[in-house]
Amino acid sequence: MSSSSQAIVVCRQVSKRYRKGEIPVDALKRVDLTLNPGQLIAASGPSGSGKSTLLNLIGLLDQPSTGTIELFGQRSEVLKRKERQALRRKYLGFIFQNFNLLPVLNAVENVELSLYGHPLSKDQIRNQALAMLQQVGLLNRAYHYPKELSGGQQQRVGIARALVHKPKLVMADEPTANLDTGSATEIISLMRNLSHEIGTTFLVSTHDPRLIKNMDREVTLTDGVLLS
Amino acid sequence: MIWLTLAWRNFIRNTRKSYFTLLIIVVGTVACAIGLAYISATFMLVKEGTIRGGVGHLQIASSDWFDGHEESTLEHGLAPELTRRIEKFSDEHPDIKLAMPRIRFQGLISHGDTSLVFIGDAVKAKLERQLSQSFVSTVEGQGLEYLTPEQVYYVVIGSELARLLGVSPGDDITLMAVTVHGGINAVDATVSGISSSGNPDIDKMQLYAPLELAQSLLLTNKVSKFVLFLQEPHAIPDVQAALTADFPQLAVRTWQQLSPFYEQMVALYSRQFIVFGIIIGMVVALTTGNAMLMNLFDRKQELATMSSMGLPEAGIRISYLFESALLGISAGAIGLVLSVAVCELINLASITMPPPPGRSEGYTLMVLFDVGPSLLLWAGVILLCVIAAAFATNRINKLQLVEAING
Repeated sequence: MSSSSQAIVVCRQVSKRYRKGEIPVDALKRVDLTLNPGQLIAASGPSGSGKSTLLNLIGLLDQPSTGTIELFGQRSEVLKRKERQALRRKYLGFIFQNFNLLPVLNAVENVELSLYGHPLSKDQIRNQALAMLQQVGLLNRAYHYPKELSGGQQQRVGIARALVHKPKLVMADEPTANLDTGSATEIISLMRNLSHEIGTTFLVSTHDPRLIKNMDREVTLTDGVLLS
Repeated sequence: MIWLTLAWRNFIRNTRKSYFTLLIIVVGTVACAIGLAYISATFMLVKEGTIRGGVGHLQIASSDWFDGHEESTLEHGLAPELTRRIEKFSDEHPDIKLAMPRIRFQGLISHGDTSLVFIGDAVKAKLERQLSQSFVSTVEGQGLEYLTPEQVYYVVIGSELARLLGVSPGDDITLMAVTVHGGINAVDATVSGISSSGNPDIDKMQLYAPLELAQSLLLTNKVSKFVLFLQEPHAIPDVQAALTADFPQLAVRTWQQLSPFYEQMVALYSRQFIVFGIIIGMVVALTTGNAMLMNLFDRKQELATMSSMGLPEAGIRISYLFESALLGISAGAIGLVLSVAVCELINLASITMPPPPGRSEGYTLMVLFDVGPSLLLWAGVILLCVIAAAFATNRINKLQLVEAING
């Protein structure tokens, strides 16, 4: 565990217990973790080790059973539903394993989604979304629908969507799991470059060694326990 | 704007389930629209039937004639001077098309050894004929309107009365009645025609005679009342007010006041339709609600993704409500267009309905597609769809984001 006065996320003794029928499952056990700005951090570990749970808790999609998470100076457990949403909208970005693009929206419209709720005009929203697509190399596919894009292209749209509003922290859950090696390499490189350009922290859940070796830092989980 | 775009795109990416929902709403709309068309036609037919069947738009008579009881014949009748004033007023008033004097009288009708009670309407047949083509529907012989002015002593009698008396057109009968002076008077007349009202109880006593015959029988120049037929029904209040001002000693009644049956029928049919509409509405609402719930379930990954990005739930809800409204707009429109076609087909098919209770003749089924109520129905369908979707979208804030994001 490392600590810093400028930490964007501080987890203290965070545990998460689920119930699978009658059986309680401890997905995370007393995790202490601090994330600093501008880092690429890999949360590695085997399947079921608690990587995704950790991302979900830090991403305010779920709440810890015990312990506290401080996100950008705010204690997550005291936040109301709308405040959590507002915090996600302002500070967080999400990249999903299955891309999760809206099939009825084209690439640029999918990217624009992250800008709604921000004080921007319609033109500003469109221009920023197109600029972001250019950064991920998909400007020529801006008006294509997800079904017209390859897996790698869809994930690049997903990355553009996660970064267009310049979040401080991006949660990426197995972003290369559904991609071939070529696409995975492109995505890893893209995330690394954008992280450095925009200054965003990436917390990436993965057990892909290609991804891990490109990260600034690795935290390893096993059976819900943070090892490093 | 993105919410409306989302709603529209989701609406046009129709799945089989959406088509099925659309179909149910269309069927519900058609059922309600045809129900409305049937009721509209019934109201119109009954209204026209009432007005043209003899009641007219307005009637003017002594208030005692309307509300009281005549101790003697034509006790509350209108004297000749009053009759002339009413005729003059009617001739001069631009909104009055016809003013028809009538006498209601009763007595005995005899043929051979048989005497029976009759209830008579004495009329100016040529005027009455202008009010209604079906005035005194004769099934044998000819109506009073074909008589020359000199042919005063002719009558048309109900079919049942003719059967009981054993008379047919051309046969002679004798009419006996109490005169205005209290004595008994009798006149001989010839059966000109046999009429049928479709109601056997009426046909057993009904008799029509020229006004002059009744006045001759009753030994008077009075009439019971005047029936007024206007150029346009919307002039009823104005003409009623003008008549009341000019003839304060008389009462002026509208056709609705004289036919409480119509208002009762409107109330009854309206209530029946409301119950029918509620049932159809519930089917539409439940189907739409279920379809929107299924949509939510099918798209829970998309919803969770949007929610994880911090997009406002209100926007997501608006998108669903708008999508449901689009469903209502399109299904309602298709339903109404189909209803117009079905109404045309029904009217073209000339479907004969069985006689209603108390009647001996059937009638041709008619439906009347009325734009006003149909547009209200359309608005109702859209509203129902939106309400159903509003209930369904309550599930959005119960969504388990972590579970839903992964599909």
